[in-house]
Amino acid sequence: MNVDEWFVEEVLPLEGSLERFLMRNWGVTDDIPDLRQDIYTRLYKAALTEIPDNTKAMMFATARNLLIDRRRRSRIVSIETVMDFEMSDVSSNEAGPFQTTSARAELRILQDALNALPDRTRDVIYLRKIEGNSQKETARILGISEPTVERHVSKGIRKLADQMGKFGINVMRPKAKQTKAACGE
Amino acid sequence: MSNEARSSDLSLAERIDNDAADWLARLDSHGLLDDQPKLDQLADSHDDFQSWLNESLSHRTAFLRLQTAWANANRLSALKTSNRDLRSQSSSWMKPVQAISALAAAIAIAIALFLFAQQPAITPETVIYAYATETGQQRDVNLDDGSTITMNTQSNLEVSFSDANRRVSLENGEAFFSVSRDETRPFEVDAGRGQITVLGTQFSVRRRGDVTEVTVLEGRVLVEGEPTPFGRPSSILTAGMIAIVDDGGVVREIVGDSAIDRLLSWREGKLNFSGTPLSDAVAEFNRYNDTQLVLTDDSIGDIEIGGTFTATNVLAFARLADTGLGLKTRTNGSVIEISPN
Repeated sequence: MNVDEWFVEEVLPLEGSLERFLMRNWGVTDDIPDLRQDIYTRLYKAALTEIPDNTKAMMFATARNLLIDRRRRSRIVSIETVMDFEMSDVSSNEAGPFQTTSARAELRILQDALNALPDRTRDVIYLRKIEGNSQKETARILGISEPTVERHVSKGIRKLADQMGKFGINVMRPKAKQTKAACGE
Repeated sequence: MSNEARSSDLSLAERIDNDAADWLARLDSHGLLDDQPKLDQLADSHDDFQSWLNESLSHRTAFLRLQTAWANANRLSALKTSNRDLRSQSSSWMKPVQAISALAAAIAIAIALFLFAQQPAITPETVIYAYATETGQQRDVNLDDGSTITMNTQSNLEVSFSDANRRVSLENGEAFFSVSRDETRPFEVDAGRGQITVLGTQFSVRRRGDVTEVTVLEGRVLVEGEPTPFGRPSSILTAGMIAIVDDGGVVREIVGDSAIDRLLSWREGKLNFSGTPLSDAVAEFNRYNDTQLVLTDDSIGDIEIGGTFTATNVLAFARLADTGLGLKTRTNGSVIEISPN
């Protein structure tokens, strides 16, 4: 398995667990995208040398070390706090409430994410993803320029990814006997 | 890449994510993402993108993340049917779609979008029925095609039948399937790592964490594990066989009829043990009862026991541990502790 495949199939589905872990052990919501990106990059880099046997364990070990580093660097932190953190449950057996998400539940998560988008952005995503229109057609239908459509796609995908990430970004697995309906598994 | 002024207050991650999203939107507008291309392929097709990608590994991971989410969002197309209906409702006072003017199209879209935004529930192309059992509960589900499913304790499953296939998704727990034969529609059970396909037969499926176990009573069953770079592990089982599916693939074992009967005795509300370590027996009982058995000492876990018990009669089992095995039992709230003598 190449590293890209590994990253997509093994790391991304854990995003939800990772976020919960970061919230519990770091607490500052605004820092999470940075922390996450840092962790992903470190994992990817390590995988270039050798793909880990236990991705989950490695992810949480990496996360833990990163948080310890950051705490030490921030210097305001008292020794007690660091000790508390090291003693707290950093088990890699994170079982979020959505560990086994059904196809139906995943579709609902997506739908909620879509509905949470700002109006215009949602229109664009709806026309492109649900109706399957091209960028050109979408621009025509909404009476806006193509670069604007592109901007909305860009904005939309960021928000969708962040929403999906709360539950783990799962690869759509192609099944041997999948019917035409792209409706989940 | 974008002409938007970027606030210098944006964190590095924000900036990278923004750039990755801009790139994704740009590549998508040219249809380059349509067939889920590999990242290296994509990079080959666009020099500027390749330079950006190569600047840092974090660019790569950020892009992979968004690309996967974008591909995942393809599921949303499952919502299309219901909105087609909405369109045809509004077309009674509109011209047909081809002749529609831009404004009228915009109004039609606005209505569809408005209704879409109001939709409280999903209406996918296939209706999905969900069933669940609580601790100690069993229930039978009768399906339209004459098949039946007997659900065991603490189980969750979803059934969706269409013209092309009969699908069940076993989310949790254990269920026994008695499938009526239909050559035009294979019966598929998706149980985590294991996927089971049959035409007509009787078998049970159990999910235990990351492992899926399949037990065949009658007929032929195809069990497939998860795809690997080397292909997809699979095995055909017939009566008297079980398969264990875990991250190592599919392993098949011939256990014989009496072992099969033991594994399926739960259907009569019984648990049947033979040379079973006490710790395993206790774990089994705990699936069916709110009152949990706990061994206070690991050493007694190896004691082998045999016999048939009513699954929900945990007190009787505790009494046996006491009188039959000479162990000590103590009830502590909703827990029964079993200790060495």
